Amino acid sequence: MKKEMMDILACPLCKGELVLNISSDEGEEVISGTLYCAACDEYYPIEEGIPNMLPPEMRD
Amino acid sequence: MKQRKLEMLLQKVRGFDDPDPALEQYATPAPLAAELLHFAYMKGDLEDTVFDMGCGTGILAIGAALLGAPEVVGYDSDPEAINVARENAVLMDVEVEFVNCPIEKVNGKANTVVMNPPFGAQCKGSDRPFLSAALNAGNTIYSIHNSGSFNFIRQYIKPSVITEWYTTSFPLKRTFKFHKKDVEQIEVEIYRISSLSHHNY
Repeated sequence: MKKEMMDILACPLCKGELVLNISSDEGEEVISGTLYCAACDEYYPIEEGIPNMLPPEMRD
Repeated sequence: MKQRKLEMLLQKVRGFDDPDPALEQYATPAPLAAELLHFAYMKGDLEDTVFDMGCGTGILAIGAALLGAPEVVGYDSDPEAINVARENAVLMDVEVEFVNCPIEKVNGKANTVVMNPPFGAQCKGSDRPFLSAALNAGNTIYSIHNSGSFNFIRQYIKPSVITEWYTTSFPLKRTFKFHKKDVEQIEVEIYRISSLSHHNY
């Protein structure tokens, strides 16, 4: 995902802002990392460039 | 790009490896995708941000990007579908973002939403959350529904309005065992909806 996607991503639980933590990137493209909601203390993974915004109970 | 050319390109987009009947996961056939997208293109609705809600393996999102939409985001709750969609975008050499996300959790705003939601054939009313999410996210919505949906949609989307709609048909290849024929001609309706809703559904 492009870093500018942060503008349209929000925590699926509280709709609050997320903090991006990058593990690997290529320019503007985030390959892996996490999105963190401080209010819910919940992490959403970014894997192979795809943010996983599924609420925790919907993940495999 | 001509509709026929788009259709030929979209024939290359891969469908579902293991479609889930409960989610009505059938890949939108290329002729139907090309028709909806060409309609949106001619109306000037692919010139800004476009969301594909319930994008599956990404055919509408990829087609919107092929027609020049500058920012396209596909949303789907199925991680396997999203992975195929991402591979399809690479194959087709277009920039499309994909987000693994339930439709009711989509947060951003788009000028235009394109979608082929479940018709509710297997699970009645399953198109409703898609319509609600689309009306919240987009100014203009292009959506495919089964024939005979007009009255339901007109009522359901109020105060938003249908600006245009028409009936078309497409050949659906046998996807699930309960499909009786190998290829069936399916009649569907394509809607263009103008969202006037800023209330919560």
